[in-house]
Amino acid sequence: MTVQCEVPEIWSNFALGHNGQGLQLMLVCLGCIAFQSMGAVYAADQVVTQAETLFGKIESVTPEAVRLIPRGSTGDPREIGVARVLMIQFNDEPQGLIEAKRLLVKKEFVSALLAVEEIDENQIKSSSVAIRGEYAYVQAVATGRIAIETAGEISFALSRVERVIDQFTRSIHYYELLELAGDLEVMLGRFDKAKSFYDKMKDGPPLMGLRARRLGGNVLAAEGRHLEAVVEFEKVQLEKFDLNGGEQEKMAACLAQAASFIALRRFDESVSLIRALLSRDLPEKIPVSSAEELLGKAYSLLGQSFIEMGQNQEALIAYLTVDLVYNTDSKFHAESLWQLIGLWADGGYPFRAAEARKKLVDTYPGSEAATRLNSTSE
Amino acid sequence: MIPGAMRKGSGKTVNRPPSVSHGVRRLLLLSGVSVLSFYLVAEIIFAETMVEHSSSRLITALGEKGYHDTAVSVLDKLVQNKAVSNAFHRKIPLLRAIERVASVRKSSDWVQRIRAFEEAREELECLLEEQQEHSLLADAAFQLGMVFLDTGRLYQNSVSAKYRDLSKAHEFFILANEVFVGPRTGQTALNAVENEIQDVDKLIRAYRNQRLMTPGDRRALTQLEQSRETLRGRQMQIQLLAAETFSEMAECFKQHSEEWVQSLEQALQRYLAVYEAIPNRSAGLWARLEEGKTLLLLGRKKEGQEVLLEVTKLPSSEGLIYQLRVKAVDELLSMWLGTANIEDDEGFDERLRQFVLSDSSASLSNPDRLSMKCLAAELLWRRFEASPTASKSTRDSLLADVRVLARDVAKTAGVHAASARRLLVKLGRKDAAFAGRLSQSFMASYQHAEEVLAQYRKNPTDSKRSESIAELQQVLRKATAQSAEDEEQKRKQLSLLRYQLALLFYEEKRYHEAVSIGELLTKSSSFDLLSKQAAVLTLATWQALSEQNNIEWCNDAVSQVGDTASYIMHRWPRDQCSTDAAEVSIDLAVREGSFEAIIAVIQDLAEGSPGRDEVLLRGGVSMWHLCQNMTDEQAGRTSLSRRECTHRAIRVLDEGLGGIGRRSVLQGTALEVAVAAAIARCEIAVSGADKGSLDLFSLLNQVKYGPWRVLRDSSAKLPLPVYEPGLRACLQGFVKVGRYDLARQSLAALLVTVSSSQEARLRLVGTCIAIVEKMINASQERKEQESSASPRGKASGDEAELLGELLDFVKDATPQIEVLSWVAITFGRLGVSDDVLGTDDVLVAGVRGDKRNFFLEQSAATIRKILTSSGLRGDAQTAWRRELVSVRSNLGQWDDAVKQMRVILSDQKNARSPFLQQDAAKLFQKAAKNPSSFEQSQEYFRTAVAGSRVMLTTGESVVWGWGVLANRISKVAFGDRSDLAESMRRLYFESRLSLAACRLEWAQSDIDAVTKVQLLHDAEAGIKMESQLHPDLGGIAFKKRFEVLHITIQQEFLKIQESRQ
Repeated sequence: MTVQCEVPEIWSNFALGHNGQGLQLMLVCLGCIAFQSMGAVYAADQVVTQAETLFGKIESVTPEAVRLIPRGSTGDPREIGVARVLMIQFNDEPQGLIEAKRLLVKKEFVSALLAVEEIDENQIKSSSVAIRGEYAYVQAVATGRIAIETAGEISFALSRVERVIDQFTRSIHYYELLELAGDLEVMLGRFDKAKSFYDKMKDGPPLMGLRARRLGGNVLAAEGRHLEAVVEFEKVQLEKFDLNGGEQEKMAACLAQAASFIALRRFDESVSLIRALLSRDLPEKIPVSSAEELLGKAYSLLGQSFIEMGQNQEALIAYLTVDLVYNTDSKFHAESLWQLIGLWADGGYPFRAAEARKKLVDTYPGSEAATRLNSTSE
Repeated sequence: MIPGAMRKGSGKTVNRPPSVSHGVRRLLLLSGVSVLSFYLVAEIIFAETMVEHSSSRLITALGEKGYHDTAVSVLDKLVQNKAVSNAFHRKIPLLRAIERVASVRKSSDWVQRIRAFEEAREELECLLEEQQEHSLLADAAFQLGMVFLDTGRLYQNSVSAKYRDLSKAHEFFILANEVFVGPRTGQTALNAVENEIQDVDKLIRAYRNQRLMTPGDRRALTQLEQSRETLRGRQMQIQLLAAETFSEMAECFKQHSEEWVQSLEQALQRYLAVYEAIPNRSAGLWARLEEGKTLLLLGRKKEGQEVLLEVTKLPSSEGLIYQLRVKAVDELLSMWLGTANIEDDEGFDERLRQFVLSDSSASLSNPDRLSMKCLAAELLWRRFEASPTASKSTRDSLLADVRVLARDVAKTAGVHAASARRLLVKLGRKDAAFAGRLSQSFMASYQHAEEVLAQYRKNPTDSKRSESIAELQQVLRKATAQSAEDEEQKRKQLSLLRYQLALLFYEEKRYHEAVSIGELLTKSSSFDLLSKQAAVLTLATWQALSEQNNIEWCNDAVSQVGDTASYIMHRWPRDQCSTDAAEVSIDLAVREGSFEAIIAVIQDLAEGSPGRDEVLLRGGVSMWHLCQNMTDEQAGRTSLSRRECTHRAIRVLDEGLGGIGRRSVLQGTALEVAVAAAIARCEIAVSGADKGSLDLFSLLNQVKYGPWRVLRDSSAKLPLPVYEPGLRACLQGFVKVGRYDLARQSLAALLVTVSSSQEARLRLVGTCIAIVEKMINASQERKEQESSASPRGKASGDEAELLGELLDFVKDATPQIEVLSWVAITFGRLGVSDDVLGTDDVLVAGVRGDKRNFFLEQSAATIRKILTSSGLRGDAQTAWRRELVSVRSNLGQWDDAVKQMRVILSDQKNARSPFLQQDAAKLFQKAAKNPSSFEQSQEYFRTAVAGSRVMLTTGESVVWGWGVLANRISKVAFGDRSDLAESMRRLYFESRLSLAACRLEWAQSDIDAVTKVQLLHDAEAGIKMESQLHPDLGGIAFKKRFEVLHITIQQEFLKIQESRQ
């Protein structure tokens, strides 16, 4: 993609304005012309990673990596692996689509879907394949994630995701879409199909392989085959893997293993496992938001185990940690508030119980926990 | 990367706000020091574990929410957590001390606060002794200084004369300063911070000296530089606090005394030092203002005035600086008004006059600004009065300014409003009228409301109450628009009126309205006493609502009762209302069946609260009652096992009884509660739940509350419902400790108590049955463990007597067949009772024969009673008659026994029963040996051998006798190999053997020789015939018995022959 330097307009600006600003603009523009004439790139494609935003020209995209010629560079393109990519953005992409993708990154799926649906479809039709792929990707992921959150329209969402997988085989989002398709199949109870989607991820970069194995463990757990799932999760954790993202996968596998222990009513093992995890150094390689989410899950599982073991004070502390520290995941947060209502009340703190109740009802009025609360009150 | 820094780690940031009082917070705010990054910051780059990171954030969040107690619990858990690093461990006491102090910051309970300060002091002093780490030392020393300062303030500012102690306050202020700045042998907060700054400086230099810096290094360097700034701020903050401490310490002394002057001089030096160190920063300017104020206090007016005037000239008119200027002008005005000479206030020049006049009236809620305006108005009025000869324009200008300022202030509700109104009155008719309108109208309304209320209280009719409500509502509606002489007084009066209105609503049963006002006053009234009364009213109102059983609000009202009670207990922990609230909470918990809620109430109860012992005892009694009556659902809801619940109840009861027992006299409610608790404790001991840890006898006889002691004391006025459970506990308790004599006395007293209530009598029936069962079981156990049995002399006699009395009561208390049956059987067992009260047992030794006969007679009488009851079926009739036969036999009343047996056999179905016939034959045989006459004996032997038929009113009674019995069953006995045949075979041989034996016994009785020989022949012939018919004679055992019998018969023949020779 090349940036069109609006030369005539700038010139006209210069012509109209006899001040320093005009001169500055002229110099910038002259610079642009100079770069173009040198065959170098002055472009506004972007690759957003966890650590930085890279500007330049996206030379190629595959499911494994994006190749970007950085702005001002004359050298070889820079390759950014799929695991590091948060978002890509083409310079001629509609603003609505960019906004939708930002919302997607923030996990505001409903807003993302609304944003993408507001885009003029004709504009998309006349766009490049890459942009059409991005548009389809946002639509599919937003629909899929909403379906998972609301447990509705799963089949429709799955068909949308599958269509994008089939149509845009070279998309950087390929593995993400495979995972989503697998997740949707799990929701439908079609574990074999889910497994086959996850297995396809193993063909990708090593991190995708590791992730696929963890997701395979999730399938076993979803099937109720917790003993086998535990073995699989253990294998993931023992994997010698030092790449970016590996730590996050291992942590997720560890927590999934703890969840399986809970399902097997081996609560003390679940507690030991999570405690061992928490006694490790705060992971630096995991993005803060992901780490917070994982820690939220860890404390939620810890609380669940303690409740089952009748250790109410420990459970209270665990759920308070979810409520007050790691409250980004609405599901865990709502559950923690629900548990806190009972724990505070049992501990003789009616005001605090009422506070937790109010927070649950105000923050997550439609959540399962709030519904449970209403039915209990009735 | 700096290796030293990496290793040093005591965790990353633990962002906790410092524990500071209101006054100090004000200072810190002005000092411009960011106190959010409180902990040492030079450690920012160190690794920390996930649990440490999470816990730090949790503690911060809990502190922000005000859940300091939970934060302390989290820290306590972390102490035990092995996954937490040593560095983090070292910080825990500091964090705990901070949370402890923070937890009582809003408390109005002096004792609770002082205790928290003491605990925090202990932890911090330990930390200072044990730790070497600069960052930790700095924080700990700072916190310790704050704790001392707050403690000093607590002693100095206490409203209650009981706690106010200026010498103690002085002592703590000295300690605070020693810790803040020294002199001190150990580390001071200032030293520690300075050392820490040096540490950070070193690290910064090390980073700067690196030839290459990674992005991480650059980040670390920036953080270190920020840390150094924070530490420098802290350094100034400590110096300001030291100055403030000296200044406050001066208030401990008499004004102008040597110590007073010394303290202020010290403060002065420190304020000056801070100002000189940072003259352009807000902390420095604040110090400058304080310096000026201190100079004025010391009487160095000229210097003070110069300093303060300098502050008034500060260029900024924004925020903090403007505040400082207002304060400075206010101080100066106050000084100038205090001078005798009008010339002395020349400093209040046009610049300052315009400054005061231009102050926006929009922010007149600020007390400094109101004070400044009011004082300025007074000063200008003084000038007006002192310049009668001044030009008209000058005088008009003065009056205009006074009017503007005074009106501004008069319109407000501040403490200066009254002065301003007085000033307005002096200005002229119009202003006086304005002031009058402002001041008088509310008072008039208030007085009117008081009159209305007084009239209602004199004549409390429904209509008067409605009128009073309407009047009060009217007054309250108008009140906000009205002003008063004394705004503080007005606020108080308004609160009083609101309280009265709530009370009227309560009396009118308009509970929802009452509760809404009550809650408002409870939570928002600044008058503690009124707030407390309102809280109690709110609690009563919620209770009333909860009792209405209205589904719309009942559940909510129940939970609100708990919440309000909990609020009262936390806010007024040492007040009687707290105890009352605790009791209400306990009642509620009992109603809800929540064991945990009772535990929570008890935990909430402050150590020194009045009536704590009573609450403990009530709680303990309720816990025990819940343990006894816990449903499975309730048991499922509680996390404790029944056993643990009982142990908790024991602990609470023992603590409460211990406490209440130390009182010199117990009377009224305290006595009632103590006795009830003692009863509960006895019940627990009797139930065996406390493994015999209690001296039950001593408890029953405890001088102050022992049930046995108190319930017999006619001077102790206790409610009637106490007597029944109390005496029951005595009865059970004395039985348990083997004091049957006292148990009998308890029973006698109990019988009198329950005599008028059938329900109570039935309850006692249950108790008696349980006691008898226990006694019998205990007796059997003793019998089984013969070695442990020890003679107890007369006690066993009492034991038997008690058993008789218990059974006797039960027998007469109810016509229920089940109960009577149990009585009859038990009496019967006790009467024969070798199996129950075996001859080897001491119990038997104490029971006389006549007593046993009495038991049997009672058994017989009870059976008769059962037999006469209408609802008894045929089978049951037979069973009871058989029992009666047995009792009569045991009593040796054979004729009666035989009579009953004949009645049994007058039923054709019974008569066909081989086993009943066997019993009958046996009975006749035995009766024949214990005859009332010879003829009777002959008849009984005859019947036993050959049977008889007698016509009774119930029908013909047929007794088979041994011979017929054997004949009748022989066919079945030798018919097949079934179980029945086997059983019949045994009965057959038994019958044949008994026939011979009976003939032998008959022959041995006092009869003529011919009959005797004939009987012996028949007996021998019977055996011989049997041996021919059935050579095995029913097996070895029977065979042997036949042989022995045969020998006896032959011996009897020999005896006859010998007697003939």
